[in-house]
Amino acid sequence: MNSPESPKNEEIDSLLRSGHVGIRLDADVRERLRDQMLAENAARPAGKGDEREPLPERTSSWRRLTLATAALVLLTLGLALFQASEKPITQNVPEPEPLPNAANPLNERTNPSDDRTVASEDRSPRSVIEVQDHIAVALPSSNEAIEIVQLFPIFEPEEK
Amino acid sequence: MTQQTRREADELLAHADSVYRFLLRWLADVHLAEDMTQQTFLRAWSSMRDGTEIRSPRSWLLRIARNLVSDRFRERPVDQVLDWDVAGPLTWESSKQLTDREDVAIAMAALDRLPGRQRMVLHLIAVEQLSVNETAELLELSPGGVRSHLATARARMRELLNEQDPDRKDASTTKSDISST
Repeated sequence: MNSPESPKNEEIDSLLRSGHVGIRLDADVRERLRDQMLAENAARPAGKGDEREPLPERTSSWRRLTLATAALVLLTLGLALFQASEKPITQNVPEPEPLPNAANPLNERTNPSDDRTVASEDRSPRSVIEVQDHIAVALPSSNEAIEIVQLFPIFEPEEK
Repeated sequence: MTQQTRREADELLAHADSVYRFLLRWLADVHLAEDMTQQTFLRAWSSMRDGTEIRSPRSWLLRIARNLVSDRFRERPVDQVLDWDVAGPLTWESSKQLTDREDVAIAMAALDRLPGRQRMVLHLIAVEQLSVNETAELLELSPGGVRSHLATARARMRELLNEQDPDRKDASTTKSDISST
């Protein structure tokens, strides 16, 4: 705590300012410095010094880079769209699943070399017999059909 | 060379004393402070002619001075004490007009006894009347750190001033007594 006689902050600051009043840069040093500054100004190329040149535009290179990047992105996008339009539409249609057959009734994918439906060489149109085989597998037999018909009276044959 | 150029040079040189006092307080060497003051102004002048915009000339000059000293005297501690046998006569001459010349002498000697950062903070705020923020930026401290250093420095100054005998008659004798303690 400060005693009542203690100098206040303002008094301390005032004493210090008073003590520094006379501390000045030597007059000769100051005059020499002024001459140096003016000489340095005179030594500059004409047009510099008295007339301040505007600072170079630092953003020009960034602007060029941005424009080049934007152009590159647009070109890439355009190329990608063009390539997409050239592809046949069927390319995106998924290949139909092979029909189940007797060997693989649940249509489980087995060894591709054994599966005729996915074998690479089996791309020719199917023969009528093959189609009939599939239909035979898919449709019930004649006995099963009779049983089904018997279950539903509506299908009972009309009595002649 | 235009009249405007001379006027700009004189406007810049109006802050020469502030820069010199700052460097003198820091370097505690009159000739070194003069040399660094010249370098500060030549660099500032060159930068100014290149188109640097200056908002606060004195703060800008003090910052250039600080950077120059930091670059050149990295190993030089801030706790250097000014040799008043060399710089003193300037002070005593100015103090002739003051009735409290002895108090001024004691205050100046007490300032020299403060640790470096406290001394520089007190000098910049009390003598150069910089703001806390300007001082913080110049000394690379936080504003809170500046306030802390300032409060400690003033408290220490009060202690040192109270220690002195008010019946002193010779300021120079007192100054040497303080320096020898």
